[in-house]
Amino acid sequence: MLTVRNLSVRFGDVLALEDFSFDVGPGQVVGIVGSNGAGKTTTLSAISGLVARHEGSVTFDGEAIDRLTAHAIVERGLIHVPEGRRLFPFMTVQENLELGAYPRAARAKREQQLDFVFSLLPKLKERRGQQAVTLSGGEQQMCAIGRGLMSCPRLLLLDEPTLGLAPLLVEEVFALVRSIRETGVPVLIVEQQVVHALQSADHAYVLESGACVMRGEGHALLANDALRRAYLGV
Amino acid sequence: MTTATRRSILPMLAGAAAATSVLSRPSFAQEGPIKIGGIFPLTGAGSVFGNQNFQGVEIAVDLINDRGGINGRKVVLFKGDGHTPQAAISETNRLLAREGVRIFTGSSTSAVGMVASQEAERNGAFYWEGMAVANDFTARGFKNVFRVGLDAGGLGRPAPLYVAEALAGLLKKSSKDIRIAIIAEDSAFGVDVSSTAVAEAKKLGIAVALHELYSAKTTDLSPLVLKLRSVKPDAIVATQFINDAVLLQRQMKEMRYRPPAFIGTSAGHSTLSFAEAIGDDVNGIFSSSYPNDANPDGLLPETRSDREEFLKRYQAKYKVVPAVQESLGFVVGMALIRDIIGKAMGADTAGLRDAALAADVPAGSYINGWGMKFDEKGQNLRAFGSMVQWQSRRMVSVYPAANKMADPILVPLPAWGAR
Amino acid sequence: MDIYVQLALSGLFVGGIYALISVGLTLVFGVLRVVNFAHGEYLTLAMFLTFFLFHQLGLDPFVASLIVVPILFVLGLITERLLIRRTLEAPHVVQVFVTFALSLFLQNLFLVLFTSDFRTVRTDYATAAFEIGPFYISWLRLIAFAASIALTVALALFLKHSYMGAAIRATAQDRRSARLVGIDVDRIYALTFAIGCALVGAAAVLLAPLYPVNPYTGADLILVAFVAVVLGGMGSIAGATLAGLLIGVIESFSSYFLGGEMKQFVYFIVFMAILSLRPVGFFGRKGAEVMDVT
Repeated sequence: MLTVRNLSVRFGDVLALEDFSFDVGPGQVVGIVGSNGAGKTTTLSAISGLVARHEGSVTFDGEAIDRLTAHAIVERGLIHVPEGRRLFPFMTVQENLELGAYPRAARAKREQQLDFVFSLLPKLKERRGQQAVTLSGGEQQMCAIGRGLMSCPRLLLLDEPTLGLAPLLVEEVFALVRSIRETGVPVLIVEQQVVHALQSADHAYVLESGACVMRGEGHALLANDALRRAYLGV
Repeated sequence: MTTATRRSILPMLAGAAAATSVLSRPSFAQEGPIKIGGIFPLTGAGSVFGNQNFQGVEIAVDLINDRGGINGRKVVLFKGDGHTPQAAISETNRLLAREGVRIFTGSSTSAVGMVASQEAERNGAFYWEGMAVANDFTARGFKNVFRVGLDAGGLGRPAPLYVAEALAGLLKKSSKDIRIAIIAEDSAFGVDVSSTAVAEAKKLGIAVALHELYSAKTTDLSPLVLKLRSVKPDAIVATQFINDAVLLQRQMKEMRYRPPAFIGTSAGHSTLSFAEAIGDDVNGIFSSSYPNDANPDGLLPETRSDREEFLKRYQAKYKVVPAVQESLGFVVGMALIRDIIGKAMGADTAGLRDAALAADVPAGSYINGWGMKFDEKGQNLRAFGSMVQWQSRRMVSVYPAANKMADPILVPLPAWGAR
Repeated sequence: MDIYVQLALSGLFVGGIYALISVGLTLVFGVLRVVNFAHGEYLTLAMFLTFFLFHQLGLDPFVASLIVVPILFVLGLITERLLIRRTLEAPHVVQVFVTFALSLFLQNLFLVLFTSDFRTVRTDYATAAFEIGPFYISWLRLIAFAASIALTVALALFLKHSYMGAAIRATAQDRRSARLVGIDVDRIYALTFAIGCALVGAAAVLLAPLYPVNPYTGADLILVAFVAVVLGGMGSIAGATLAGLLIGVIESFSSYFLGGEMKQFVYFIVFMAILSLRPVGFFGRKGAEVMDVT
């Protein structure tokens, strides 16, 4: 469904990502793990069109989307939920969610999708009239994912959804990821929470200094000694 | 301002450098044309009056050249665009250095006149002012700077004088019972002119019920109108620029307030755009002004022919009837070229200065009725302001006697829309 | 007592126009994060357009608005495309130079094209007024006020209740997220800049019958708008409106009670006092000016 081949991104003289290839198939959860600065966010930004210049190819549903602008990529159902939530701070929860339905295709299904998001995330329904800036970190993250779901995604990119959240909330986020997958929407998730991510992922890739150093099934990687030493300290 | 600064620095430096080299040469060629530099705002904010003044001077130059020049020498007028004080400095220096000009005239606004005359004085050149009215202009101890035109008092005094001598009677009051409101915009122009008006009124025993300043950039003068309404003056004496002059008339009309008499001042009220903006409501409004026109009976015979020449030439060249500022420019040019340069023993700065101090030209020698005699500071004592009145949307001189072309009408002012 | 009411009315009427000029400026700042120093020159341009339509074609200013406002909108689109867009990623100082240079360029262009003469749109109804009890109310000023407020309210409703409006607000609050929900941010910039210009065009049409225009008119008026924008909170439309009205009223009272030459002094005192108590202005948010660096 998403095919990335030989993706490289350069910021000035710095090679932020080098020759990265991976796939996301229908119904899959794919994880990209690695420490800070490994190139995870860069990867997502290149796919969603926020970083315009890159080498290699990105194909979504058989269409090359390399040269499309960010909003054109959104129109095709590839939805990027950014790191750090990045809600519209001075809008209400409901307004944030409704803006998720900005793409033409999603607008028609706005009410229906809103009910769906509220059923999945009942907390947001309680907070619908509240300004986003007043929400707690966990609520903000739920709202950000909810906004992504409002766009009727055909593939959801989640960038560090658990960043700065308490352990209990981390569990909640991954439970949500699993329920999203159950609705048939594949998820590409970028995480520093290596254990959780690998547990949930069908396939996973480990990035280090812009290069992919390991790949495999989530559970298999979790059992890998080298990975355990590097990321789990055991 | 910033453009001007940026634009001026380079030519200024170049000018300054060149000026030093020129000064070391033996001064003043006795052969070739007589060069005069005209420093006026020809573009930018003050350019309306600047161009009108310049055109008047130019007509004087043309006339004198057609009559054979000065001692057989042609007169050449160089243009210097002093659209800001900085530009005036660089243009003065440019003409000094590049063209060898040693005689300057200007300037339409006090800000420009002050600096252009200073540059001329500093370089030992001769400077001849027309329209700048700032009181300080002649208070700087300069030797070679003369003002043939009015100072602020010259514009400020006619209003109270006219109230005392003519308006009080027409309003059926004695000058002791009459009360006036003096209002002015708050730049040097308004402040200087209005304070002489206040002083003159006090001297004449006229009560000043209100003396108020405001910014000419304002968009709403209704608080001032409310104040005037509560003060109920017999006459308003206003020193304004054009936009605030128009605004005040409109807002007085909106608020149905009408003073028995309204006396404006030169800049805002003696221009056609004022009449265009308020239409027939302009009729009956007075304006203290440079003389617009002199009564030909009061002019010397040769001045009468100058006047006809001027009117004919100006209309042929610009297709409009010349007004106050154009005729002032002509007077400035005639006085300088014919009566100073033409009479000077040597045409160097010292000779011109001597000629100016010796000048004793009787009133009625210039087309606006003026004569010329300078005090030791360089102010022409035979320049006087006059009172014009808008009648049938034309300016008509009503005061003093030498300039009077018609009797005043519409006193007290009829209702708005009935003038 | 009457005098207070009359002064308040005069102040509000002028304040309404200040508000309309300020709203366009604050909207452009809020969304593009660019302070448009040439905003005043668009006002001047629109007043000249109104004048020439009136003078050459005999079009009443209110009819002319149907031409002037769309022209300003299109000029806004063009300016954004050719000039502003290229500076959006540049440092603030570059943006200041660009819009300031544009302001000087336009001023000098107007001087060359129109000279520095004051032009007046003289309509029959320019000084029409009516009385309510002891109060005198100018029709034109009342209409200008009502139209200014109506346009400001319409803008607020548009921003609050339409998809496009929500997209504009979203872009103001977070450019990057706006892109990620599918908003064509470049288009929003162009549209917002054009709306800002159209609003100032509307203000010009309302001002033209009241006030003579020359190449410096906009530059003179825009100072008040800058004060209103900062006082209201940079980027806040409600704030700019409130501040515009407040400045009008302060001017009116201070020129009556303290004298006309005092009014700028008084509102700058109020300006400094309010900002020292509340540095972000009425409705500003702390750090709003750096909220969404991408």
